[in-house]
This record gives sequence, C-alpha cells and structure tokens, in this order.
Amino acid sequence: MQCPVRISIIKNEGLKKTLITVLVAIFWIAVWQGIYLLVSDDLIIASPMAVLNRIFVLGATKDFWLAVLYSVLRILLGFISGVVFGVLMASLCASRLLNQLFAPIILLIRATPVASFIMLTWLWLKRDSIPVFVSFLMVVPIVWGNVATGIKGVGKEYKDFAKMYKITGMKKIKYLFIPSVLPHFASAVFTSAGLVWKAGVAAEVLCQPKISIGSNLFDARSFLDTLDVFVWTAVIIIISLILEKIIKTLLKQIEKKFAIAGLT
Amino acid sequence: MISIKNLRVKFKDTVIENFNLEIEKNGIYCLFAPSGAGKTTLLNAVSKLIKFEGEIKIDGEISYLFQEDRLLNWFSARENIMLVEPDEEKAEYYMTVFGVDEFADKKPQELSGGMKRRCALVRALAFKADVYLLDEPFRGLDEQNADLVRKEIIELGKEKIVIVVTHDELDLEKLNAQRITLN
Repeated sequence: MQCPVRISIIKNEGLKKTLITVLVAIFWIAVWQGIYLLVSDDLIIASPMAVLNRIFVLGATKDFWLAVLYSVLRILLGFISGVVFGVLMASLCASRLLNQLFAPIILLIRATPVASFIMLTWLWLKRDSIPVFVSFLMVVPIVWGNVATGIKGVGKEYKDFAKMYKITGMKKIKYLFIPSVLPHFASAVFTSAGLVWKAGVAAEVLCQPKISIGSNLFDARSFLDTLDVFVWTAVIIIISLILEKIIKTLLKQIEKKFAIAGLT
Repeated sequence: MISIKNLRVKFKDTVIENFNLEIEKNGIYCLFAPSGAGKTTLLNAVSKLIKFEGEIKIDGEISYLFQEDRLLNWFSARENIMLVEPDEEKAEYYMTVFGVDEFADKKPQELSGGMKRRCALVRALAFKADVYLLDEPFRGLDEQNADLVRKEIIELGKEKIVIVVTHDELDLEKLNAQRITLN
C-alpha cells in the first residue's frame, strides 16, 4: 500500500520542514496519549486533550496573562541586565590585572548551584526581585566568558595593524572588536536564553512572587492538581520556544550585518 | 629621513645588537639577512611596535606591509583597503594595476594567497606615508604580478623611502635598490 503523502516528492523545502515538524509533534503527542491510557490515573498524568482544553480555559482569564507577563518581564529584566553587565565586565577585564582580580568571581558564580543562590538571595532581597537576580546571575558568567574570548580573538598582530594604520577609538571598536566578538556574543545570548528561563521559573517556584508562573506551578503541585502542573509546564515550554525564536531572529539580523567573523 | 643609532632589540628568540642605519635620500633599500636574523623584528622596532634600546628617528609617517596579510575577514577586499583611509586616488590606481578591482567585493576567505597579498599591498602602498616598510612584498605572487609590484615600488621610491625585505638577491638589481645588511 502506498503512503498517501510522500514527503520525498514535496519540492517546497519550507512546506516539507513544517510537515515533518507537525508529524513529529503528532507522533509524540500520540506517545503521551498512549502513556496516559496505560497509566489511567489523572493524579499521575494528564491527557494531552485535557491540557489543551485547560490552556484555553486559563487563556481566557486575566490572571493567566498577568502571571505570564510578570514572569516574562522579571526574567527578561534579569536577562538583559545580565547581558549588559557581562559585556561590560568582559570589556573591563580585557586588562590582564582586572581579569586576574575578577576571575574568582566568575568561577564562584559558575560553581554555585542555582538553588544556593535562590536560598541566599531569599535572605537579602524581596521575593519579587529574586527571580530577576537569579536570572541575572545565570547570564553573567556565560556572556562574560564568551565576550572575553571574542575580545582575546583580536590578537596583538591586529592591534599592531590598527596602531600602524591609525585605526583608533570608536573605529577600532566598531571595525575590529565588534565583528570578532559578535559570534561569541550570539552564542552566549542563545545559550543563556534557554538557561535563564528555566532558572528564573525555578526561582519563582521556590520564592513564590505573588503574580507569577512559578507560584501557579507551586500551587498546582501543593493541591495535587496534576492537570495544572502539566498546563503550566506546557506554558513554560511554549514561552521558551517563542523567546528562543525571537532571539534567534534578532541574532540572525545582527550577524547578517557582519557576515562571517574571523581574522586572516 | 631615517636615523637608527645603537639599536638593541630582544624579541622572543631574536636579538639585534648595536644596529646603525642612516637613510637621508628617498629611494629603495633592500634589507638582507639570514633567516631568523631579525628582519621583521627590525621593522617592528622601526614602527615602534616592540620595545627597543637605542635611538630611532623617522621623519614623517610610516606605512607597514606586514609579513602576514592581516586582512579582516568580515570586510571585502575594497573595504579592507578603504578602512585605513588611504589616498583614494592612489588606492583606485593600485587596485586597477594589481587587478584587485576584479575581486574587490570578495571577502578574504574567498581569495587565494596571491590575491590577499595584492590586497594588502594596495592597502600599504596607498596609505599616506613618507616611509614604506614592505616585509616580503612578493611573497605568494606569480612572476607577472611580482613584476607589476616591482614597477610600482620603483615609482614610489622616487618620492619616498621604501625599505623592502626580500630573500632574492636579484631584487637588488631589479629594484635598482641599495643594500642594507643585518647580521
């Protein structure tokens, strides 16, 4: 028997890609449904249809959108300030002395578990600010490290070249350093965007700001409301995918401007 | 004018001791020395890119063709040249003469070794300077292109001081140059 849709004969690459994505999604939702039927216990697992229905129900409420908005804003604030701070620190630490001075800080942030940060900051900050600070801490070492690598990529030979040909100040930064740093920066932003969202929501779950996705997830678990745990988890995944897509598009636009980086 | 007195440079494994040089007239000067004797180190010291002891006096600006091309990969050949704010008329002239205009919009990673060298040469020769330091300008060039470059260096030498690092003794004659020896 012949398959009604032969993907190999679809010439439009975009359509082919979308079709494959949809088929893969259908396959895994079917697996989920299969497990649900096998377990047959709503306390342990929710069905895909129930989750979808509940998302539509919650989506019609103002509280749902407020929770999403506040969580996104909090984490975004931590993310953006982390990126800015990371770039600043990497630029400052281009000097060897400052690099040695601050190296232990970056090591410390990298080695400390997120949970420890959440617990510590609980003592110092208001609960609304904790996810912001935790997100900030997640981003800083990644951006700092990657941007520093990009800055180091402009070796002495290129600094000498700039000196000989009087390429100084902003011109030097714009034409020499930014193109070298950009691919490292893009990779740091992309990696940290995925991490920051997870860490930010984890911080919300633990410290429970009044209006947040994390608090809703915590409440759902407390009331053994498995369906809502699944729903809020699905919401977190969907937002993460949307943010990832937005960041990817933004980075592509920036990278296009500078094409392939590297020195010859 | 270039005046070097009692120059002492120690850079990595290279040591230059008590080197003296006086150049007062415009012209072409070929720098000869055995491999590893410090030709590039000397040019780096003259350009004040590395530390040295002694005295180096130069009247005017320097343009330096580095031993490596040092082109920026994210810019086209033309952008690499224009980045250094050269004499635009000269840049266009050298680009045409050296055939760089044929690949002016290509990026260095799309160019052959010889093409990159020609691009770096245009950048160095079109830069407004009084002293031109050319470290192995013919490296990677075929004979036809090397001859074109020699012809332009000869022209440049009529108005400026040009120091050429080369391994080929024949260049002394071809460029009608004077010899500088570094032992």
